[in-house]
Amino acid sequence: MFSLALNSLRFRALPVSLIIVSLTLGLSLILIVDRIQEGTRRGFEQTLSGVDLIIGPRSGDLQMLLYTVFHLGNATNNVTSQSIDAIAKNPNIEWIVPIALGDSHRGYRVVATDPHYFEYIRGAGGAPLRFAIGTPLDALNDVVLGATVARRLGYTLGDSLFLSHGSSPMGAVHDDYAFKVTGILEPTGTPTDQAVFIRLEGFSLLHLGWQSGSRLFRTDRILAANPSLGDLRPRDVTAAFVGVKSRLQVFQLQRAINEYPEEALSGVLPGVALGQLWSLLGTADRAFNLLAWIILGVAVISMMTMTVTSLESRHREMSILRAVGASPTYLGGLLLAEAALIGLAASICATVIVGIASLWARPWLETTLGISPELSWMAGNDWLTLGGVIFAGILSALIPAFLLYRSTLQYGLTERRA
Amino acid sequence: MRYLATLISISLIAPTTFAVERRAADAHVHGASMLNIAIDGPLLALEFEAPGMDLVGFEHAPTTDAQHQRIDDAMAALNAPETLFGLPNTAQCARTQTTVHGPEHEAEHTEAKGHEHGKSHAHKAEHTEAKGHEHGKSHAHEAEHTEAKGHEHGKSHGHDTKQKETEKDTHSEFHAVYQWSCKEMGALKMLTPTLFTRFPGMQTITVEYATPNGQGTLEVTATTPGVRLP
Repeated sequence: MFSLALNSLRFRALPVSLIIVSLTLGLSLILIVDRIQEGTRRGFEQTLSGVDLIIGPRSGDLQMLLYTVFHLGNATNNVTSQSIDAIAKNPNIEWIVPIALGDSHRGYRVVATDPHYFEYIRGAGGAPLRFAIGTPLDALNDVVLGATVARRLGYTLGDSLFLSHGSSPMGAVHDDYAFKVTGILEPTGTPTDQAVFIRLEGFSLLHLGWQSGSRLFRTDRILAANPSLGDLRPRDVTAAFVGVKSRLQVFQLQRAINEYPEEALSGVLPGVALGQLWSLLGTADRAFNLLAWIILGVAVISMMTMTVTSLESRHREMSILRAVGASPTYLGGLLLAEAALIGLAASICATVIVGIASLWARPWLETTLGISPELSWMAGNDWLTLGGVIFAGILSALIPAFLLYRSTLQYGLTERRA
Repeated sequence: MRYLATLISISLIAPTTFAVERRAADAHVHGASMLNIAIDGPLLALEFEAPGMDLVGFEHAPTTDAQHQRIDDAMAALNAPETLFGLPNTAQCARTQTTVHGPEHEAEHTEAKGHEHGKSHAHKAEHTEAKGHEHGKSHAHEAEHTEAKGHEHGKSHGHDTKQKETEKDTHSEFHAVYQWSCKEMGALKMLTPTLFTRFPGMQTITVEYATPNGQGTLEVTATTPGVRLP
């Protein structure tokens, strides 16, 4: 029956392939939307491992998470180092790593931080940060590059580079102080790959001579005074990452930070802030999913339309089949088999398209969001979706098949008039 | 050296150092019940906070016997958190810490029955250690009350309005902290709180959790009360 169905489909190649195309598009849309949703979610979540709490200025949890961890957007305020030092004395804090943001290098964010950053902050899935070559930050002019930065810009150990003020690649260049590459990190699949790390003191040196975005003094004049690292400790930082001794106390610590009397601070649990993002995006996600399913539904209906209208033109074909001994049930089954074949073809095409799209989506996610999740070729519930579509296709052929079955019962009698 | 000195002093002094007073206001959220769940090793900690409206249906000092009764009932329920928050038996958790604060401190000492409510409820001290403490006699008012000298307890509390205000604020809600030690933490995948059936006034609870498998947040309601943990 299937070979007959196949031959019959081949005979109507054009309309059938159009139907397959529309089904394929609908299906691919569903699968891709699904894949990107899942991929971004996983990518974001795996980025957080290691940090229990983020301390920043009083602002929205989500906004703070996005600019500190994902380097999306900018800080509204800074936090004084004095407050960070005071909070660091809390007995439940195991480690605290301040970061200062605001500069960039050829479009990549500069993260000014403590040399301990590389010990405590983790890559995707909690893997520790490892150096592909070189060593962590030590001297004032040391710079450590994320894997992507080093690869795209072609830097190796010992290269020197300038940073620019602000996050735009067009920003004014801090061309009076050169940094030297002392380390390059291994890829992590997190925004770390796209970051340029320097010491907080180096960051502070660059900005000592600056006031409201323009330079008043050159750094060499400051350096001529031969300042110690302590002299250059920044007055304020953008945020601080915290690891706690016991997770049981993390909520109390958060409250203590939120209620810190001397400065308006926020303590953000990164996973919780991310959870807020997902519930915020949940509605949009559902809308996208709904849209994708509607498109698929339209494709299935057009397939049904084609089958019904083709019945007219296939009158003769059916009569011949009846004449050579095919039962009405067989003819109905033939239509169902055709529908199943169309569904199967569309499923295969969609899987291939989605596979290719996943390959393309990963670098895209990496450059836009800094995350690089594993996007599977075939996700768990894809089979369900594909199976469901084939089943829906068969269902859509049921009505025409029934019409055909009923009319062919009378073929022997009515065909005479032809 | 001169440069450095000037630069650093300029940059240190320039902004905000002369700020004398800080003003900040908290976001005022009404009617928000929240549950924080933290898991570390074999230990489970829950922190629950609910406005009086959610648990007893009013947010003022209880005036009628029925209102006192409702507060007592709520406190009794909060003192049996295993059922209230639906801890799975399979996790084999043994409670090691319980601290329950109600809108009216007496309600939490079950032995404090028969004691006149509405008259003397101005304790500020930690309620848990207020156990064998004699009511109506020497109210352990902390030094905050400067005017508390010749002030008669058990009568009308002549607090200044400011004091009353803060008390009204903090005392209109329930706050509970628990800790357990669990033998089978792996079995703790889901909490099925009976809170919503026990307290029909409860609409939603915002849950935040921090577990070894990650942090997150979810909202549970009467129709979907299950708290799924990663």
